[in-house]
Amino acid sequence: MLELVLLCAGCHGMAGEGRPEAGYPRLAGQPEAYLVRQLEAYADGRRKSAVMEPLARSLSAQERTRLAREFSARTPLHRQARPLTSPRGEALARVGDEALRVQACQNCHGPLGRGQAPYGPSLAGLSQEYLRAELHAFRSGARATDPSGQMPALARRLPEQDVAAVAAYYAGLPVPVLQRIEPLARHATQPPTRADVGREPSQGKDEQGSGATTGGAQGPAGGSTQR
Amino acid sequence: MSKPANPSRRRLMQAAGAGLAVAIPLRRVDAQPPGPQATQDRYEFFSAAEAAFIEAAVARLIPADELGPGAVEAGVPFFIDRQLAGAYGAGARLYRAGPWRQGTPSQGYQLPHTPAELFRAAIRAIEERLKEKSGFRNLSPHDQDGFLDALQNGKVDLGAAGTSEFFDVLLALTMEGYLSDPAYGGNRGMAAWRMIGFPGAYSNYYELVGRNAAFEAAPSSLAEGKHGHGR
Amino acid sequence: MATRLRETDAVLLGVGLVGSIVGLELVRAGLKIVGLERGEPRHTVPDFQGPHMHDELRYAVRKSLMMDTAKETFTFRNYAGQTALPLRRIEGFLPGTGLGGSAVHWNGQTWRFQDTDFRMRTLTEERYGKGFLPEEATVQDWGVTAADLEPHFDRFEHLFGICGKAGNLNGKKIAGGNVFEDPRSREYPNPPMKEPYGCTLFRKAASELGFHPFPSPSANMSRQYVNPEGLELNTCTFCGYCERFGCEHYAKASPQTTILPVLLKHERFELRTGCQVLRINTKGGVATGVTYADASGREFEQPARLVIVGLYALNNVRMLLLSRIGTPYDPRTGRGVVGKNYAYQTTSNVDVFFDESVHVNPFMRAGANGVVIADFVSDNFDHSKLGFAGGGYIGEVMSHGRPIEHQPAPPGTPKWGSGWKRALVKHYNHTVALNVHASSLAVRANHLDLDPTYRDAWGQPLLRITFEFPENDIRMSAYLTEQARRIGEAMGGRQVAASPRKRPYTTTRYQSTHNTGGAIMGADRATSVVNPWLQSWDVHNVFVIGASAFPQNASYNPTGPVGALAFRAAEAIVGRYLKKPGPLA
Repeated sequence: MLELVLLCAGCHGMAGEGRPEAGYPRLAGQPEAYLVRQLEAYADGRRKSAVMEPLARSLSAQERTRLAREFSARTPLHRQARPLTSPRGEALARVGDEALRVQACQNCHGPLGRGQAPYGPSLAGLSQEYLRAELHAFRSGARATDPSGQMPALARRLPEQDVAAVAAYYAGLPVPVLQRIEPLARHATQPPTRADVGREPSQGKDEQGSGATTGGAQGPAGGSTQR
Repeated sequence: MSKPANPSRRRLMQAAGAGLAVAIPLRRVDAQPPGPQATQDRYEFFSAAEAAFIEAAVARLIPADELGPGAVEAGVPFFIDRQLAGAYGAGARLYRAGPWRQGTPSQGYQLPHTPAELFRAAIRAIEERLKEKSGFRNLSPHDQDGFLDALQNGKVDLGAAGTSEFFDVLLALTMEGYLSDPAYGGNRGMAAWRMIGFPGAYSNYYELVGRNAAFEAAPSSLAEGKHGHGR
Repeated sequence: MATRLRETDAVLLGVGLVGSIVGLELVRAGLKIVGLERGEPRHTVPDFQGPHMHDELRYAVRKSLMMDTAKETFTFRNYAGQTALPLRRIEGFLPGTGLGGSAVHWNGQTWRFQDTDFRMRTLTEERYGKGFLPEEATVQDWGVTAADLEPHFDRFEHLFGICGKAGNLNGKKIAGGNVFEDPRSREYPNPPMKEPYGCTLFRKAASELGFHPFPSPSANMSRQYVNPEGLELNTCTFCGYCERFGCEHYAKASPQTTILPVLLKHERFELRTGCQVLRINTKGGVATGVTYADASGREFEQPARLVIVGLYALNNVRMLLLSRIGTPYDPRTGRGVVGKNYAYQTTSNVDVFFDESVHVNPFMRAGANGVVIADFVSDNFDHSKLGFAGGGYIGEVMSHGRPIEHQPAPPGTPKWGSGWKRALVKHYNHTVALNVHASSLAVRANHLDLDPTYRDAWGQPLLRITFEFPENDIRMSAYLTEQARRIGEAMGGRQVAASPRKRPYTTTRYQSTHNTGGAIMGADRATSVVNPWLQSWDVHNVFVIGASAFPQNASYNPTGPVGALAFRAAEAIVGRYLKKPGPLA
């Protein structure tokens, strides 16, 4: 494993912290599935890089997954926010622009560039140069890692000064101390705080029409919105 | 490492430098962010007596158990308090022209009260009725459930506050507080969402559609991202 | 005293789906237009952006995008002997307000009604005999055929970028599409959306039972799409916040995403928001314009040579009644037409409860993605021994997993307490809800008129709804829901719970926003309000467009026909009416 990690560490750092000044993006804390996809994309030509393409091709599927898991689990080294340099970039990231028909980046990239697993990468603290280059690559088609087609369309609609602005905004965000909130899974929480020996309530009235609705809006089968 | 490193790999490893070849221990940050509601545990609408009723009642409507927190632990009483103190409680979006007539169940709510007025009047009537038993909160859980059941089925006449109308609104608000975004003061720590597996506010599932697989990522709230850069 | 404004060529009442479509056609024909919208101006950016749009409490439960029922609502009763009371909050259906109207917060299901719907009276009597429809039925033909509307359906589907699969291309049946549809001239503009796992289970079970499943046509995009107006829609992300919400991604077709950017820029179009139209003014059988109140309550008279009524279906009818255009319907005598043939949608559902090995992920959905069967739609099956007319589609078209609204639980589950909680945890992600979406027969007693008692914030009478499900539809729902239950059983769930529609019709829980009729279209002015071009029989420069024109409601969702009727009306106005103003029929 260490050898695999070292393959990446030369550019991306041992902790996967990245080297923004050199254009090497942070890997630490990125969603695992996102990282796997990038390695696959370098291997099959959906992303372009003279260094990454041969490297990715040399990795087995299993190795890609192991690396992705490794770096995804690492805690990014916290980097302070830089002073906000681009109010325009912030507006695009958080609100969008109706005239350009561009929606807010955070719809998919999460609050404050935190990312959205499994495929929405964290953008906070990536370098402006890297972010610009990737938007250019989406625009030209050199990067084809978004099967929904939204990123290429957005990149085409953003004029160059807005590409720079939104890149500057995300570059200036603090690298998040990613909160590994417990994943969505059922788990026990605190035990009952009081005697829970009540009786079962009746179902109440209005049992009819358990909420089938129209237009695809299946209603509440149990029905709780009545008032 | 299963296969020998190829030349390009070796080059990259050399670039990494032998001196760095000390694995940095992996750490996971398990801390949860403090909810915005942590400092808001103070009632704005309810009197102490009203709050005592509400806390006792919602604890029966959604009890704490091994599955997850109950309504009280999730902050539902504070959610209801904020709702009643605000526009909803004052009757926003409620048509309030008379004449006032009792309708059929198919015609919906027909009392002249705003939700805030309804809660005031109903809790007063309930506590008056249960005065000899030292109020709702001092009933046994079994008797509390029995009383709520009677309320739900219109078997308790609350005078000016009607019959089952109050229970209907109380139950609806309890569910809303338990399952709505934590930005409104309930569903603390998104615990109810974790319990059922609902991912919350941020959502893009394009690539996951069609799989028979559990969704594993952590949920997210509207409140996140509000205390940030440039604001 | 209203301030009189300068005359305009045409005035739009409501700038929603109908107003946007007709408005753009008319400005292109050279007309100057004023669009009057009672609500707010709203746009994808900033109004519908995440994350705040993903707020179930604010938008789905408190209904932020809907008509403000503090100011105006409807009164309701089940039958004429009751006193109608105001819907003090509207829970049963969702009338929108604001720019784009209800086509902002809709789910996106976009269908073509069938020829057997448009000619229901004629074709039913031809096939089953004159006595087949119940005596109380006031079913009528529309005065148009599926072939008449085909080009307009086609235009609307391309404007909105509908995603689906043809089942009948110019008469050639295509397996995998809706083989029951009437011939369409070309394929849908976009392929079907991805198929959620619950839909796959439904498709398999329905196929095994010999039915013909196909992807439900959707206005949520399956890919990037540039519509004929040059506007690009984005691929839907399946975020699960469609109906009751605006789309943050430009991924759901709406006036905002498909028309308004072009219309609002047009030099001959003027939008005025916050304007409540109080009445259409007429003189000598011709409309002279409208009187409206602005957001501060000041009254204005807007003279216009042409009046396009494109409000929510119920409000179209109310506007005619308030303006005294057409003869109000009297259910006792059967005379009059305005308010006649009010119909609804007969919905029901079947819940299929699986164990934990099946992950339904109800939150990964779009408003209109799904798989359905049309084997029981309209007259696609033999009714002769069934004792009812009409039908519906059955499908897996779950649109969201928002937890305040979506709490699947088997019958007998308590509404609260630990039993409720256990059921919620157990079933939330392991339940497939099947929908039955069925027609609504027009009958003599169901109608709309002005309420004698209750008034809106401007002092005008509210519209009164008198409705109960006809016996025909109760029988139909029992039959269709049983078919859905059979499919549910074949899907392999641990438990299947069917809830056919029952009486009384109740407004306290959501059923459908598909209120139809009351200003119905037809070829005979004695029995309809508007002619087959949606023109008032009584006042030739008033066109009343919307689901209010449906003589009875059909199996499918109504937005497709509303869009097609809007294009048909616009074509008649531009092609014929403007050249020679007067009755078109």
